[in-house]
Amino acid sequence: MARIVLDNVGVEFPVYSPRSRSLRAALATQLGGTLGGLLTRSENLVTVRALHELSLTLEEGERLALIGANGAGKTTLLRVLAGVYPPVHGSVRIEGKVAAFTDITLGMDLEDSGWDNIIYRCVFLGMDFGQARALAPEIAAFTELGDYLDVPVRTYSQGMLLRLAFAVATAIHPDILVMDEMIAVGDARFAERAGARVDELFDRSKILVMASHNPAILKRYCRNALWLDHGRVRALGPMADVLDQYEASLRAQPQG
Amino acid sequence: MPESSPPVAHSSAAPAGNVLGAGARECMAGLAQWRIAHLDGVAVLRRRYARSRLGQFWLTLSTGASIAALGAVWTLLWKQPAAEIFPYIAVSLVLWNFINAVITEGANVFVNHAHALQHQGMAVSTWVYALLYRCVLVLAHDAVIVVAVIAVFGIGLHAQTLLFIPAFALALVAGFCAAYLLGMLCTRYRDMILFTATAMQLLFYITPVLWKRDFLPEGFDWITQVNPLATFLSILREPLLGRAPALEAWGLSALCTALLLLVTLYAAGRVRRRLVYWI
Repeated sequence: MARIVLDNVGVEFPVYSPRSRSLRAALATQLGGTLGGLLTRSENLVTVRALHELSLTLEEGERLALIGANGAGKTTLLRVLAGVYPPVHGSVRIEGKVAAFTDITLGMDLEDSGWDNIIYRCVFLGMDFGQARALAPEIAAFTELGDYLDVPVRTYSQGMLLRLAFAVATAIHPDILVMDEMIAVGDARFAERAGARVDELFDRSKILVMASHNPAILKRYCRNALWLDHGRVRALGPMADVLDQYEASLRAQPQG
Repeated sequence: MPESSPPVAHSSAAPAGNVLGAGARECMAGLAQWRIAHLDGVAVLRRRYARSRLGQFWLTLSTGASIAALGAVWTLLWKQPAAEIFPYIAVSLVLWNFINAVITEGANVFVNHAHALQHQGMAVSTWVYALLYRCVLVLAHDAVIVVAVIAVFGIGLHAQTLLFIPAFALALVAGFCAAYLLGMLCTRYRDMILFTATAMQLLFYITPVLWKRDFLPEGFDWITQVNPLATFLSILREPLLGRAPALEAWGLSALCTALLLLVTLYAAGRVRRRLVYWI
């Protein structure tokens, strides 16, 4: 069972100046407020609205693409779904186990070996040590890193590190998968195997939400699309329709 | 991980009466992530001593050197009986290092894990447990010195030594709460990080770590009585020196812990929602 219900969700970020970060300033502001409004709260506090009045229901089987310009709120929405940001307004209800791929190297330790890091990543993704150890050989085989798995990860090239992170990320069984850009790896031959592995992961996941700027990838994996614009829903519907509208708006404003 | 997880609901308007319950759930959820706390706790220590030959035994070595030097000064310069002052300083300093680490590193606990907090939806208390676990590991390294000093100076084990167990349990709960609260406060008000470090230095001087309560002149006894760190230090130290802590010290520590726990559960239930926005 997997389901996501967002009801009237709003997210705002306070931007604190160094002044308002200090306790003294906050006290002065509070006291100032009671002493006749010499200093007001709003003087220091600027808020950036990232999501506004967003309502959305995603049922099992949904494959949703998030599109929109930089700063439209895509990543913020993904983080709300991942449980990182409790909403400032409205409510969020998530049924099912969420895996968020906004940083697939989270929890890795560059001083440790590839084998150790496979375990670390698995534990960060919610496995116990037994499950992690049971899964490690399959993950290791997929990376094709061979003896490199015995040396510290800091000696790896960027591509090798990504391969390791990718292999672990695609080994899990989440109910809900949240991705910020498609995880891509390696040379042409590896990319082919990686593609097949991603397909399997997506088949296992009951709900997929993916933000991307690559229309080809979105068309391949997603059924519906949500177009975000300045934190509001601009359009929600079948992939092709929403993408057409979005691209038409980009042509209308060539500087975008 | 095929097991199904219970639905997660976030609402901007948390039910007021249920704040403590929500706080307790957040603290329990962090405990359920003990694997991450274990990996992180060990990793931080390993990184700190990476590629050094003695590794984490530098911990034991540097604490041991301080105790030897201080003990020598106290016996040779101030003519204190070695058999009394050496165990006292050894036990006090090792315990103070633990208390000090929990509090000063507690100030940074969320700031240091900003990246993880922004990328993974998880109980923030996980990182407080990781910190506490790391401090206990350091304490375990220093414990070698305590055991050696207790053996060498013939204090030995008594029935009272067992009182260390409830004292330590109390200190762990209080330490968790202090680090959680201070971590939140310091994430919102960054000046508090520097304030905490300075305050702990001053507290070190007015807490009987390197000196004893009876060194205080007449009429200054209150200094140790109003300082909760002195109270916790005494319930932890006395059992290891083979004595039972004073009843009032137990009471005061228990009261402090209960108050801290109440405030922490409230903060974990209510303020925790804002934490990630302060990072």
